[in-house]
Amino acid sequence: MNVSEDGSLFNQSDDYSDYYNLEDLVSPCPHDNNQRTEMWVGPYVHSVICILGFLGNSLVILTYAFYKRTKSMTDVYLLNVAIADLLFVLSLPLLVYNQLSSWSMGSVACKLLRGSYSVNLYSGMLLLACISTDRYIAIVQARRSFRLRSLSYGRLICGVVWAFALLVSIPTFYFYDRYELSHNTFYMQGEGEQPENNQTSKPPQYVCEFRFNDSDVAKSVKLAVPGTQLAVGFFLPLAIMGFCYTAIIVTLMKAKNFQRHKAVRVVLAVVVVFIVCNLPYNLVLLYETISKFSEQSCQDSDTVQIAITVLQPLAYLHCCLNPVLYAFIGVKFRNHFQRIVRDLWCMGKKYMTPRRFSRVTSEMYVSSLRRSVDGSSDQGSSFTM
Amino acid sequence: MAGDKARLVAALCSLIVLAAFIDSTQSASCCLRYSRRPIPCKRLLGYTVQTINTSCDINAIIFHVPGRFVCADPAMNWTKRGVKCVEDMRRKMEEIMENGTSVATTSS
Repeated sequence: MNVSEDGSLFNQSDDYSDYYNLEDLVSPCPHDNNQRTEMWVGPYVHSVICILGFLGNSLVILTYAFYKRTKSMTDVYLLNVAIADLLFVLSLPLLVYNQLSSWSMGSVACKLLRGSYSVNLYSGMLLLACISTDRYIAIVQARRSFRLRSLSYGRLICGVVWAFALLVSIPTFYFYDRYELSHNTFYMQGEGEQPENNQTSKPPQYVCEFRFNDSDVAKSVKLAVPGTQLAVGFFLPLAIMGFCYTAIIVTLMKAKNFQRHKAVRVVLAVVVVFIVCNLPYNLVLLYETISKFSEQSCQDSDTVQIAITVLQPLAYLHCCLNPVLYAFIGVKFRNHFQRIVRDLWCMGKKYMTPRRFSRVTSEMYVSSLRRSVDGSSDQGSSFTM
Repeated sequence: MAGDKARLVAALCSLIVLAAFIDSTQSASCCLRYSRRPIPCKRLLGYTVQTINTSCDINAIIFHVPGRFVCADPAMNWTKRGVKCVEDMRRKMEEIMENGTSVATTSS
């Protein structure tokens, strides 16, 4: 917005300048600082997350597809988390590209990308809660374990989770729309004498945002969508995981097993990573949702938006860490994974001419993964159970 | 090692290509609060209606005055007067324009 703060309005005008102070007149808020932050976070941080998340999660899926049959409930959950996370990171570059290119892929892409983002967010978070209950039953309720942790139950629960995620995402599918950024503007002197205005400048800028016909619907959906995301997409899984993992740790501490410390460490890592990644973003989202329809200063709003822009990728990072925290931390899974890498390497030797390169990268990747699961790499059995 | 470097360069290039889209980043500028002081009618050039039906979260009238935009509370009396004032002026202008063109066509 070209509302330059030079005060030219006040200097040129006669009786006007004495009567009005700059502070009395409020202009639309351009969120300048947030836009500057977005320019950096948008392409750079998201591409890193996308690449890492793609590598980790597709390796998990490859492992299940070719090497390890899904035999237990845990396997079903891990595979589904990897699928949800992979779909999520794959939609990220498309989302960023469209946001930066005025939604050039059209309004179907707008609805599909926003909608699938929401579906994958919900299913990913709820499946993590399912994994925690699965482990809870296995460790704390060991007697019921065989009956409750069957493969068919696992598939059924995953189906229910995906259906539920789809259901709570319907408002997102329905109300998000691609539209041209312009308000209903009325001028008294025809089209010729408009002041410089970003909102009506050409070429037309498109956004993919909520759009409603009715302001009551607008008000309730604008509260309900982030509200559901907070409640179902964060606080519910947090509560379930908090309960299950606390009970697991209590049980493990009672057990006289030399491996328990390592298992406790894995549990703590899972919980700490979940909280560190998701809590900050969700707290800011909560604050933003609560203060949504009230008047606020441009500076405060800008700060909140910057916080969201910075903390959102931190929450996304969780998708890249899930394969390490849940799948690769298990010894069995790691063995399968090493077989994949070995086979890929052999294939690479056969088909690729610059041999040296492929070897270097695959070895680097294995060693870095080993380092990242360091704490449990010498552990006797897997915590994947 | 040459292949290594080539890949790195390729990766960096793709990042830069993504970054090239940055300039067109655009989001709606919304009124977040209202001006308390009324603006005299003679200063107004036009107005824009902001509703909560799109990405903005409060209803507002955005008055266009020379050099800037001013947010106004649609519930306030001076805002309603301002809108009416712009509408009246617009109607008058249209009449003048119509008369002007009709005079022009008859004279030619």
